[in-house]
Amino acid sequence: MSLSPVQQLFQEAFDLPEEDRESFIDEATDDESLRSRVRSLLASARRSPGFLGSPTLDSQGNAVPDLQLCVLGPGSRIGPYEILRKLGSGGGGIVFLARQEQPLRREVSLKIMRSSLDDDEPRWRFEIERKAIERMEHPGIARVLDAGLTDDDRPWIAMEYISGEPITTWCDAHRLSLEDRGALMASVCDAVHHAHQKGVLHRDLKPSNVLVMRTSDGSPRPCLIDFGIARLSDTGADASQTRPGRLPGTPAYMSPEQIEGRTDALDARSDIFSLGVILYELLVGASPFRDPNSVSREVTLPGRSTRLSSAEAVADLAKQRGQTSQAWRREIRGDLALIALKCLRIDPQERYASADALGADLRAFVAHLPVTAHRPTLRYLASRMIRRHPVASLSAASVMFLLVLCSLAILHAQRQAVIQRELARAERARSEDLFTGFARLIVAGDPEHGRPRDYPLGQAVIDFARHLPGELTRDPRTEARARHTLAHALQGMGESAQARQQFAASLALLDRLPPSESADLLPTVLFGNAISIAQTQPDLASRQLIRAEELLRATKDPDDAYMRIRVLCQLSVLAHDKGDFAQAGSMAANALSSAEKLKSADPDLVARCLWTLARVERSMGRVPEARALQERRAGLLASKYGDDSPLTWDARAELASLDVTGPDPDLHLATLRGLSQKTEEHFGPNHYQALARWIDYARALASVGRREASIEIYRGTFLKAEDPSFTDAGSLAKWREEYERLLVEP
Amino acid sequence: MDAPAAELTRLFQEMDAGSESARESMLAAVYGQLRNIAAVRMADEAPGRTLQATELVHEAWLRLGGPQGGGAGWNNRRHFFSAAATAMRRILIEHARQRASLKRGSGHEALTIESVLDLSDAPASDRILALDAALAGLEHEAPEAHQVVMLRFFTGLSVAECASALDSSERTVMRHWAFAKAWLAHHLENE
Repeated sequence: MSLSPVQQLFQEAFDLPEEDRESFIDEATDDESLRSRVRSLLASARRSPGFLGSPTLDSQGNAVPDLQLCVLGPGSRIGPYEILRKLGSGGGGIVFLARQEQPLRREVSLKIMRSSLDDDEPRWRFEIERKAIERMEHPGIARVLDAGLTDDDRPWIAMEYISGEPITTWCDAHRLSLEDRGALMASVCDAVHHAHQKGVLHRDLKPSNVLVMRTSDGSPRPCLIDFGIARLSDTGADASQTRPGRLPGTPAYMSPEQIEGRTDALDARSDIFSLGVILYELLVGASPFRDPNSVSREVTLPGRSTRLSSAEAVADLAKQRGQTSQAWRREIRGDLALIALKCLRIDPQERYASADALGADLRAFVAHLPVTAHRPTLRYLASRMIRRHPVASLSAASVMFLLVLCSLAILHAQRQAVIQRELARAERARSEDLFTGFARLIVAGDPEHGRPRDYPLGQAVIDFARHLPGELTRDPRTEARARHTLAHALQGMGESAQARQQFAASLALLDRLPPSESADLLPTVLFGNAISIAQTQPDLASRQLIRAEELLRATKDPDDAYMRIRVLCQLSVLAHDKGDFAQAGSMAANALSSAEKLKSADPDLVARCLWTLARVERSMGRVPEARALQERRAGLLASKYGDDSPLTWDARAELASLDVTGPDPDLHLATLRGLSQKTEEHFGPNHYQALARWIDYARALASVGRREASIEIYRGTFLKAEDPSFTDAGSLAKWREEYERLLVEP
Repeated sequence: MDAPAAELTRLFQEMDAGSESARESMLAAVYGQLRNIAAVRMADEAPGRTLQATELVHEAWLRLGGPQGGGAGWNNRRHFFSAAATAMRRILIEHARQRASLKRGSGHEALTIESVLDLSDAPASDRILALDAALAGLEHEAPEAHQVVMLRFFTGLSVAECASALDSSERTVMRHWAFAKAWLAHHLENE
């Protein structure tokens, strides 16, 4: 049964030392009638301590004194600890400095919760929370040493004693620059992220829980205390979280969802909100909220803080940050402010998704790289306006429409003058974005960022492609380039399906841009996309290649000429697979002569043309021509890569396939078999290259009439293709078709 | 098993099943016993001698056949003590009404069960009536705290026994007791 508000508040206050009761009641509720009722009850209890006496009598008829509610103070013992002095008291309980004698002598900080685990609160919940907290192991988190229950069932927790200063006090006292403050907060984020990964939320992040001390080398080290402790004290006082009009402790650093008491909805992003409040204070020197102790989370923009109204105050605050007033005034509208504001969004979805992401942005700020937090867009601001003032916005919307029209007109006039400068700046911004965006991919594998040490690069690329960072999606052209690059990487990893998605997404982005902005990227992306869909949609692939070839023919760029030759080869392959050998032959011949004409003939490119043409010749039954071409190709590749490389193996396999129908088939079959094994060892048994090489071997076996052996190789290859990592369904279907034809052949 | 014990056992079983009439019968039985005991004591004892709640209730328990009638189980004892507390309160109120005095005490003085049970005189009669009114208010505000007062004040259960009877912890009982005392003192002061 839950207690009435009067009884609940009375009991919590009654457990406190008398001098703390008044302030506790003031903080606990803003219901004045509740406060005055509880105050008068406490006064009555104080005036009549013996009222109702001790009703229990012993066998002689003497009153038996009631057991006293445990009053803790210096000298009291809790578990193996002896209390030395009180360090402070907060929402959940009282903190003491305590000493342990055995097994080692040390001082600890001992927190004793105010409320007991009540009868309907299962202890296992306390145990589960306690175990989660004890799993955390991070230099930035004060270790929980021990925990238990007092004689009267109040939870206590012994923590490493950190003799640091609250982060805000420390930064101001040491006049830390904004960069140093950002770096310090990034370390805090590392610790918070570690805990989040262990499934522990802090729930009560505030400067007095983020302590800073100097390490032996003099650098500041932040250390979080009370991690997860708020949850432990919840176990005894869940009801108080949900009762309207009452808050457990001060709301100054709480997220809106916490203030609303939606304890079930809390996740990492609630801690991120609290980090945002601290970050804002480190930047501006004041709370982001107009009234920190109210339930409103309306944020004052950093430049508008009332603390900035007096020049003296500004000078003082700037000095604490090692800056001149002017420089600091500029900074508080800069990237660090944007980062803090992103943490302080009302909707958790709009905040950083993890402490790791916040830390990465803080480090980007420290390194003067672009941050992902950016100014709220017009649409965002408009949506916020409309949410807050649904009726007034009707007219506000029309005013805004006019404003936008005016700005567009002005912009157009200015555009011609600044267009060159703008373009240069835009291009620079894009390359910076690309660089920073991909830098995140490299950083992602760093165990310091919370990923396991064996986080494979392949998985990193896949994860990265799924959730591109903000830098890469801000501008469609940048995003198209990024997705195209990823598509190639995924293709190389054998993740064909995912590569196809990325190619298609990249192409769709480019098709929405004006031709002047997409022309240089379009052929490459069309080509990549065509390759990825060649098996599944050959006609569409052909059309895309023809489009690419037309774009490329128009330019004089040597890179484009190179690209065009590859496009021609691919077109030849598609025509060949459709059975149009004449078309395929002319495309391939065109490609080869163009490749030979290039100033710096690239052996890879020529080899590719040779392969393409040889394939057509062979299909047309002109084996000697095909053989000559393959021989030339093998020579080119061997001179570039040596005899022992996958490309050379491929050329040798092609030659062996041609020769197998001639004299001494066993020799060539053995060659093919050996090359298949080599390729398998090199790429892994389920890689497309390895499987394709085995299929070559199976085909060669079939072509010399060794049907049973061929069938066996086909079957073995299909088994390997069942592995989920093999995703080239098109090739597999083709192979199965050959295999079934072989089965029904007489 | 003799007759009262068999009757008690039946009442306990029916109370377990939630029977309201069994509860009433139990209350009537306890009430009757307590009255008888008090009357006999008053006739026997010299004026000035106070009765003890624990003693009264214990004797009623024995006379009703408690030890044979399911006295071992705490659930049964809880039924019994709950009835005994109500009966005791009723007896005291009746007594206080008969001898209502104009003398008024104040909430600052200790109001002990001994002074209330001093049946020979009535120094606290008016205060027991005020206490009764305050108890009604407490029952409305904090039913659990009210129950703790009933068991402790009117039947003299210790904190441990009370915790056991209410299937609660000693600390919880102590906190209810502290709240109840503050509440009652406050209401008697302002009565």
